[in-house]
Amino acid sequence: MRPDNTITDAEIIDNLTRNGNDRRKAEEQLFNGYSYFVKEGIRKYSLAEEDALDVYSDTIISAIEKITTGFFEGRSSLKTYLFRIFHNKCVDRIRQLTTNKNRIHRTAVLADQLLSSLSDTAKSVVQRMVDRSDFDVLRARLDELGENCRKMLALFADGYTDKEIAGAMDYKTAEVVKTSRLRCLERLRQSYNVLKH
Amino acid sequence: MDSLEYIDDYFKGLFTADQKKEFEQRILSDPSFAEELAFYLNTRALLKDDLDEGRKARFKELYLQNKAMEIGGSGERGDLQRGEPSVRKISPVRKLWPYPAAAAVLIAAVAVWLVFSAGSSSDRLAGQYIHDQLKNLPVRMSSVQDSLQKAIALYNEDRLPEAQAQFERLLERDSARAQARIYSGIVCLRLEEYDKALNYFRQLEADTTLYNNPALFYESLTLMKRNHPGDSQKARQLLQLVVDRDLDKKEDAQRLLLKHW
Repeated sequence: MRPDNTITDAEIIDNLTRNGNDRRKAEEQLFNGYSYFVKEGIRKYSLAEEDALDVYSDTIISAIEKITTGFFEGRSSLKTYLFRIFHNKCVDRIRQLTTNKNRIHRTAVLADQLLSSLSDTAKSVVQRMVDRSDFDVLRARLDELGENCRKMLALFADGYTDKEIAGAMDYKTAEVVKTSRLRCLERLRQSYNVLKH
Repeated sequence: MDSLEYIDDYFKGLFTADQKKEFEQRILSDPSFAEELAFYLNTRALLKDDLDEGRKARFKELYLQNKAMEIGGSGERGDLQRGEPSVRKISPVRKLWPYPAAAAVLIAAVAVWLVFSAGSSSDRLAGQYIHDQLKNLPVRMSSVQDSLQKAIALYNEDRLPEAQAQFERLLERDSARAQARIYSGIVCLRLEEYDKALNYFRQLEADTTLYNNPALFYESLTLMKRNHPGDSQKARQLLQLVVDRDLDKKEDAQRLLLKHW
């Protein structure tokens, strides 16, 4: 299915930066618009349909992240941009399948992005700490945190600013959100440390 | 709290070049700070994983729907591409057979209509949907099982009253827990406690912060299943609203509308 001709790149990008239902709709428009890439993945890169779909979904998720965080500069069309990401991810997937390598943990990718301005030494110190973490325990503590806390932290992880969270969750100001969010994080850290040690 | 705020400010891009150097120095010299930074990153990564998992499931659903539509469409094209002549020569016997066939089809259609309109087709359709789609709730694979996952496990083992009690305990502890509210409504629906289910779904509907809010869809499903006078009409309006506003479960709403109305 080709993108709806009435929807321009600019409109999709604009809707992706909105919140709630508008954003969900824009994500689906983006996904539907270029879903024929899956066939390219099967034909050009000899991937199984399931892998091609998974790679394509990863492509869209990655593009959404870049667009919403302002990393997509609009120097190329969305199609060109997406295809570049898709191509790289297909190559990664083939490498992964042929070398039987496990997927790199999300934190490693995230750390690499977020800590890009740090030296390699500092990054490797953080990476060692990440490797020592107990993700199952952290997941369980996170699930027990309470819906408001989890929602606030999830929105922040999804790229919402404190001001946007305040709007979405009916808090008075961004400052109140920041304080509450950090309090939630601190509660999580304490319960995680108690269970871990 | 101070360290977390400090880390948070760093990732918000609020630091000057000197402050960034200081931040890096702290990672190298203070292991507990580096540990806190790893915790901060892990938490963000886990939350992002959950969000992306949800997105991927949604994308897969969309892909399969589009594919099913494409197959339907290409089937038609396939027939057209077979090169059959558009006007066929019809023999005298073949000219007559459509009449009894049409009569038989008409009789069958009337019979089906009588059976369904006399009974409660909306109730049956909702029952079928519940049977096909709501028999199991999604579980998360993890070695540590939290209260929500325990309640889901009970539900999936068909221990519905116990699951209901567990979901409700969760809501008592944390009234804002949307997932527990959705599941409480669903378990009430399965237990045929329709008014209670409606109550849960209506509370959920008011939550504007959810990325996916299936409240209106489940509310209409409950009305279809309850099937009191006026319920079917109200359910139809709500399903139409789900479709018009492009809300969560839009495709399921479309399917129910097509099948029943």
